[in-house]
Amino acid sequence: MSVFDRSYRRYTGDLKGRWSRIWAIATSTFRVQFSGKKIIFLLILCNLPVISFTLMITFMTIFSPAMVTSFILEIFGTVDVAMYTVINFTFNPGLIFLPIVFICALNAGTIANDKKHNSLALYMAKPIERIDYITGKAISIYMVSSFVTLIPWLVFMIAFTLLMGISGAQFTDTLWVYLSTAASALIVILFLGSIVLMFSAMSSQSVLAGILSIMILFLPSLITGVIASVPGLNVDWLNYFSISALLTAAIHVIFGLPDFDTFSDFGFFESNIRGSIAIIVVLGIIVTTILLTINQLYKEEIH
Amino acid sequence: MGTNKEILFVDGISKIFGKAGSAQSVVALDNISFSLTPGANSILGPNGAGKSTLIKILLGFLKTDNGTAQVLGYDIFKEGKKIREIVGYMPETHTLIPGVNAIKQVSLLGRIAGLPKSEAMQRAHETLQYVGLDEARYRKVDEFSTGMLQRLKLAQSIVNDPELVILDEPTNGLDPKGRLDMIALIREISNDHAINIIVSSHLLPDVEATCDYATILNLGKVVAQGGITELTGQEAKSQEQRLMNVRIKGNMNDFLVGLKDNGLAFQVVEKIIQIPFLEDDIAQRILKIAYKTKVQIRSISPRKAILEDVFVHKIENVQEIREENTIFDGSNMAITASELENLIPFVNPEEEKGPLVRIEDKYVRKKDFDKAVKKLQKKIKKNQGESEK
Repeated sequence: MSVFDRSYRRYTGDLKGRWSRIWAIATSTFRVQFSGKKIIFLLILCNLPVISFTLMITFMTIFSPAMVTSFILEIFGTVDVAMYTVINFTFNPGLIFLPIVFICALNAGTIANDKKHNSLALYMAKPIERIDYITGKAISIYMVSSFVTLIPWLVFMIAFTLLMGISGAQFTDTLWVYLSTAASALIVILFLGSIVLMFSAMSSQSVLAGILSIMILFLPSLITGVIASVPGLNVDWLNYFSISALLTAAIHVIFGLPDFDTFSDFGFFESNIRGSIAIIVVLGIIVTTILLTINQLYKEEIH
Repeated sequence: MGTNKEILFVDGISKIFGKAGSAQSVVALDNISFSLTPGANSILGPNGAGKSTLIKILLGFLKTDNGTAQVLGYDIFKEGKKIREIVGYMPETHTLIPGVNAIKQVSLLGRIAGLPKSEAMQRAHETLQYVGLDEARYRKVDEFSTGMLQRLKLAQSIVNDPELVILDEPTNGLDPKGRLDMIALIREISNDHAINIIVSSHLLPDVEATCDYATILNLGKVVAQGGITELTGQEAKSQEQRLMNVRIKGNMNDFLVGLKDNGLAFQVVEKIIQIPFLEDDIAQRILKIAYKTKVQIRSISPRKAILEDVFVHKIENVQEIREENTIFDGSNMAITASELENLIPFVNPEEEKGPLVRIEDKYVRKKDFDKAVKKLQKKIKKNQGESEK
């Protein structure tokens, strides 16, 4: 039948299952979040450190292939440590605000906009449960978040592996970095994404949800930084309230600390809190925010 | 239990908003029971009658305090998902999925309803074409006018080819042409494609134009139900003053004087003379008067009762019944709210801390209410005793 005929056609085919419906919500939301030209600019800005490293390695390989190997080995010792260091560098407390802002800015409206426009009535009148809706929206947020964490890191590592001609046993040696990066990215994505998801579910104003998310993610770090800077105060425990400190410490548990001290002066790998506690706190926050989101949306009245 | 022939079976459903018994609580649905057979049905009622609440309960958006219901034979509590798979819903409120165009919104909702991706897209094109939004398919829904949004909501409600479509105030906010188009579409969906519909509306002409059956709700209760022809027929019979509509050509004044001299009351509405239908030979009498006063009768016919008459009549009735029942617990003592005010002072519920009793939209203190009831019951007993003596 032509799509241009004005007539109504009965449907007799089979219906798809639950995951197909959830995936439809996730992909549709993802496309809406990612639409607009400004997103590309924001994406480049947030991934600037990783892009810079990738470009640096690329140009060095093109213009001075001999130098790049000696440079890497001289500074880092092994290629896996080089890869690890670059990725860990993006968790520098000074740089982590970029993905936080990106994730908050893009995802704050995920549920808030639906609440504002009463879209819940449209979704919930279809054969899905509220948990399916939440899952779809969460997947979308995690997908968006991966564009400033997992994807650029993987792109960097693949580029690095190819440009350095890593293969065979050397590649096997670097596999732990891939796996650790994926695990770290998952932690960061779930942590930041779940907090934004919760605020988005609690407000019908995306701007408010975004501001609240940014405040919650930044303010504790800022306050703890200010207090810690007071001379004579030994307040290391305050770092448990710092998002960047928590994430860095949690990631150190996954990666393990590198066995070299080239960058020790920069304090990249310093952590004043225990990684195991940090990872428990991070996982606790993820579970709590997800439960609060579910609770909020199950209470939500549909108009 | 509902039967297979019923599209909706409601059994004793109640819904109270707020804490039951508190001053702020509102009884939205009061133990209602009814069933609907396949076809074009409507749920009628003034604002606040409980129509939307009932629909939300049927779709699983709200929980009930009591009772149960079945939609197309499926239990609303146990098989809500199955119900939503075969039921389309057009919400009353301004709803859209922000940031997408019409085709994406409809195809997304088709996919969520379970259609495969390509089929959802194909059907989204077809349904948007069907509701007359083909030109606006690729426009962002955020930019749609109210009329376009109503059509869009209709399109998404039928994209998965449901067996039943529930339309909540489908003509709300539409201009006259848009309203007529929407009515025609609804009628077509029901008649030509054998899809059952339930139209919830307070706009009686729209319901008359689209539906064959009506269930009238008021103050959370079912006050009338049946075929619209049947209901309007009953209404015509039950009206104390049925009217004959008479059109004449000639001297209107002479004819009116003739009617008056023959003891007939009348009223003139837009050149139509309406005469109470008091006896069977009324037409003969009118013809005789016309002959005597030398006017020509152009038409003479009984005035047809419309759904509005049924609606107004039924709602008036239920308010009286409700008042009696609420205040005097079925003791058959008729008393109006204004008469009651002389006995018990009405109070502002926001300023009161103690228990209150709601009478229509007003509140009285429970202790005052109980006192007044006892006082009246004593008085009535005394009067009954005296009359028996």
